[in-house]
Amino acid sequence: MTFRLFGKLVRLLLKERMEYRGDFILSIFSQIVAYAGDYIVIWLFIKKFNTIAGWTWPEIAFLYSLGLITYALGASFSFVQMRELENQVKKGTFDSLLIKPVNPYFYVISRGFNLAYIAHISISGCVLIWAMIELNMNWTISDYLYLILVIISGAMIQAGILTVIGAFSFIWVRTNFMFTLFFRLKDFISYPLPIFGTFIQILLTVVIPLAFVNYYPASYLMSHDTVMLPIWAKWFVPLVGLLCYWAGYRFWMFGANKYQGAGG
Amino acid sequence: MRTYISFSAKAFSKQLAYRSEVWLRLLGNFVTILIQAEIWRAVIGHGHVEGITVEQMITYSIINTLLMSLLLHGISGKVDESLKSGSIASELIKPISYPLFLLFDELGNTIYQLLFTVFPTFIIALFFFGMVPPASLTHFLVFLIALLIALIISFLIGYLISLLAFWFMNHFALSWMLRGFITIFSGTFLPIWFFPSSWVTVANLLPFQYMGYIPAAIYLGSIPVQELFMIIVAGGGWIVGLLILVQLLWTRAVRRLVVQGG
Repeated sequence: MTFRLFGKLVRLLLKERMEYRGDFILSIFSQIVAYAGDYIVIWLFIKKFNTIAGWTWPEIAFLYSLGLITYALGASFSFVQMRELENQVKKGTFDSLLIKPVNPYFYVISRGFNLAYIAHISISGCVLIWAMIELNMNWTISDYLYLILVIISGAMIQAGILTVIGAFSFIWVRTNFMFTLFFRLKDFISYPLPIFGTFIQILLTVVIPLAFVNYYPASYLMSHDTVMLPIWAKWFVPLVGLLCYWAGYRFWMFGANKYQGAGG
Repeated sequence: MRTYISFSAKAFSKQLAYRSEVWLRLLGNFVTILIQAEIWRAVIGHGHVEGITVEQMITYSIINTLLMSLLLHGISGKVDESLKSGSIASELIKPISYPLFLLFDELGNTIYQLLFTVFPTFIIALFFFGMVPPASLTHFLVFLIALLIALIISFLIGYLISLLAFWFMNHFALSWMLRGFITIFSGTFLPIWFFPSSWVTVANLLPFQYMGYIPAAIYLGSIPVQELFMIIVAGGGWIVGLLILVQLLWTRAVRRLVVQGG
């Protein structure tokens, strides 16, 4: 699947959604309202307590937005596609993908490419930029480049984990509950890692590397001390992203090769 | 009545088919309580803020996490499904009340959640985090009434959203917007006593606080005994108001309904 083909597909998907323009815009608006609710609760919280673990409101807003924007970017290439896989395996419609002359993974993720994450991206992007202005940081060009790398790698980490969960459809068929658990775990990274105990810190650094999505990069960018890793570890972040995504892809392909159908 | 109870029983046994997922649901609840407990430990520590200690806040989080598994506003998704597939037509010609069918069907799920999620989570939470006892016997009894009000209001709000979907034809948008309001004004994470005063005023004008803040605040005794009566009466008022509203919308919605195939 080439990039040109992907571009064409996205244009078609956009046209399809714009067929019901009012409906699409209402959906986007409603999701912005829902996420504004999440932001407002944290804002009210910090209004009352001033800081969480030494992080101020703009810093927390930056941390939370980094988590949300990378989720939206990563999930547009993975979440709905991976969640629907369970049904495709159950009904046997996945078989028809395997005989197409394209890589089944790339076919699945591009066919299901989800435009609805525009809502997440616009609200988290706006808050992210607001927080950067508010914090008034003297960033160099390399800091900006680092932020871009961090966003790409954060998206890759989240997409990688979602892809691994999706690949379990080939083995266990039912995966819905694992997605639910993922979203519960993702709540951890809405707050600075040091407020949690050592066990959770190790879990989110080594086992499910969600701390690399936003906590470590945000700490380096805002010169907060990190408990677990030294400062030069900031360059781990892009590597973790690549590794996670690659592992997700390999595991998915492994599952697809093992796949024998669950009846139909 | 027996017909409706059998709907509950059926919903209950349907849920039983997924009982292997109970462990993951318990783990999910444990994670949610843990996150909130750590946050409160980080900001309150050993002292207290406005007379509220960390132990009380942890109890508050546990009550709210448990309550979330019981609330019934999820029914709107069900109505939306039958609206889209057209199966609502066959639901409507059955000689039963559709709203009551929804209520009892959902109650079956709630009873299942009570036995297989809420009760075990309660035991786990008691063991790992500890809970403070209710403020007094009166508070505890009123807390039980408040739980009942929470269930009824959550059902009526879910039902209201599903009726509005007859007009907007976009249940997705309505339920996301509802989520935003519930996140803030139910006080599920941040209790309303920590809100700035202008936000308290808004929260008091909305029914969402009955779905989280009020039952937990009653349990902890943050609401003085002499105010309890008024709070319960106001909750009853919300129930009556919502009932009238959904009844009005329901008769119109059915007249509006056009089923396109199915």
